Amino acid sequence: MKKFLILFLALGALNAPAASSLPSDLRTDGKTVVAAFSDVEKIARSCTVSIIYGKGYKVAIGTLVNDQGLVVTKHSELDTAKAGGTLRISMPGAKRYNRGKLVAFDSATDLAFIATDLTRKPEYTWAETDKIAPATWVVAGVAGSDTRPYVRAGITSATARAIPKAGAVIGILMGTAIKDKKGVPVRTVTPKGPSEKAGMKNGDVILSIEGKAVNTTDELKKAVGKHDAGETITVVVQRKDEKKTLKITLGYRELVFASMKTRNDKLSGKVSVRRTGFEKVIQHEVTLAPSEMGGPLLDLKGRLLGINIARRNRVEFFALPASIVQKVIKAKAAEIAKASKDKTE
Amino acid sequence: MHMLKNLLFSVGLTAMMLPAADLAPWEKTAPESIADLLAIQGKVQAMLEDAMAATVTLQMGGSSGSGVIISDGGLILTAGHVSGTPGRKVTVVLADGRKFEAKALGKNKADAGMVQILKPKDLPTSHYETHKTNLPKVGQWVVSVGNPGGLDAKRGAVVRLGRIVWARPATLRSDCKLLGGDSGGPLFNLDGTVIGIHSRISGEPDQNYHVSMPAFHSDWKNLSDPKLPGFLGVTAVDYKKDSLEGAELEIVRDNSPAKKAGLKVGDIITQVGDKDVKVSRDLTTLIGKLRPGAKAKLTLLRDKKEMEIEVTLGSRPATRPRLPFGFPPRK
Repeated sequence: MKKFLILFLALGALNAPAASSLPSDLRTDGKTVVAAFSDVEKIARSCTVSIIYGKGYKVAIGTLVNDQGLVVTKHSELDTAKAGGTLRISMPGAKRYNRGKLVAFDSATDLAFIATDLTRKPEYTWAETDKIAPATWVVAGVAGSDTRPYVRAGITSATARAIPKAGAVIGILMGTAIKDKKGVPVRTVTPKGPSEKAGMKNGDVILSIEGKAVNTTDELKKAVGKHDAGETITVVVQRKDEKKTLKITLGYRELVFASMKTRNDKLSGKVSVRRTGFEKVIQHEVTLAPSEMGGPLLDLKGRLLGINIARRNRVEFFALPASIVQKVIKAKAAEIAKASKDKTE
Repeated sequence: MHMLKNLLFSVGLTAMMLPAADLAPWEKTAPESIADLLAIQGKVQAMLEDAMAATVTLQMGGSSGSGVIISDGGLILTAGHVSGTPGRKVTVVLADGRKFEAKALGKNKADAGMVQILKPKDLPTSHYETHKTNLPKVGQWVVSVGNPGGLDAKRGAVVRLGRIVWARPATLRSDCKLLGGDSGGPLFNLDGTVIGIHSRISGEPDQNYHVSMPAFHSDWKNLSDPKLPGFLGVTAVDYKKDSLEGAELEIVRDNSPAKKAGLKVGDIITQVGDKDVKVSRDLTTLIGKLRPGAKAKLTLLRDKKEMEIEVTLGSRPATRPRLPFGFPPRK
């Protein structure tokens, strides 16, 4: 029996792998399957841009929303990248690098607006409704390269809905506030947490959050809790005889404190620095990295359904519906116009 | 036989690779146009409502998984590592929000598992592959439904589309994207028939494993009506001295049926009912043949005096269930 089995395995090896397993080009994300989406890919190429800091450090994807070069993207990805250098935009058929200028952002939706010199007219039409049937094909623009596809496809995979805000933290263990003394002392700064990244040290005393004095642990918690993960807040600390101003980008409690990390989060690799606190999202299954947010989500007819806004985990991805994106563009129009006047600033 | 199967399998695949004008869009090697994609989408949307209705969340203490109802009598297919120890309590949450008490039935080495709803009423059900050995074709489009991260009423179950990467007798692999909590959820073909149950995930989101339907069919009786062994709660060693043979108790577990009946360390068990116990293994075998709740009459020697003690057997306490999905994350 054993001999027979070995023989069988050996034969199997001769036939394999082509005979027994689906070649990677034929898999759902494979080249051959993605080729069927080429009509939509053409549209994605007319509106999907890469957002780059400094020397080619790609931080996000962006979507052209008009023919005057306005790009929308995910704000917290730009904010946390802190890459420094010039903000640049690249897209096929345009100059290799176009300067961009952050002209507005909206904390509620986590959208940011970048003014550019691009003159290309995006070829999509805006979706007229947020009602998208379950299991509808969707195509995400990911701004690939010559060797990597420009789009990735999947289906809408769960009910569109609101995603409530979830606890944001600065990543410290608080000491006890001392009576009659100002501020809240920092007992331990969590390794690799938001505060450590911003330069906080054990023993610092937090005096204020966003300009508001904090003198008790409750006041500190309240002041931080107002904000979403991914938002950057200004914190003033006392360090010996010095006052220091720190810019801290908040993180999720369950991700900052490693011991609170769920198994699914451990299995999901990097997730979006902000993945909650959205009025409404379309959920889909197109695998995107956190740095691939901000791109367009199109349907098979080339309609813009929304802007990719969060990787919740490795199987759940969110896009902000087109109607919300349009609402924010309208609300920010004056601010964008004013700030865009000097694009080369 | 194996060779024959392998050969047939290759032939099947070759047929799939050949271009053929009259193939349905979902039967093609790959979709070729937007029209093909829309046809696939139409197939998925047509089966989805029933598939979603029959997909359930299973809650066991602090952990949770997925399953699918396949009979209006309340039989649920799931993964063995989700249902866990046969007999344990399970709460079933339907897509419509209703909750049912249920109990775990059997499980097997292929990670097949079953759960039974105790008082079934107006249950949505799904078709399942009833042919005993049918496996899906490589490249076949499939729909995964499940509850990644556990129950989320506002979200509902999550749908994913993929293709069969390979199919072996007990295990299927697809490129459907899965995560913890999906375990036990159904894998459907585009006709809405259950052809597998989510079992294990890998470090890559699109390389995941499902229990095949043949792994259920080959073991259906044991899975749906598991014979639970009786449980005494002792550890024994062989005893042999002069002409006396038996099983000497080394440990009597606290709160066990043995302890409650008054068995003590040092007792030498010589008979269960009218069957002789000559080595400790005989004791395990004889007790295992009885069911929880059964009364066993033990003949034993204590302080060189023979006596009889009657024990009401219990069931083996729940051991910690294996964690769903056994692959460590890729660093």
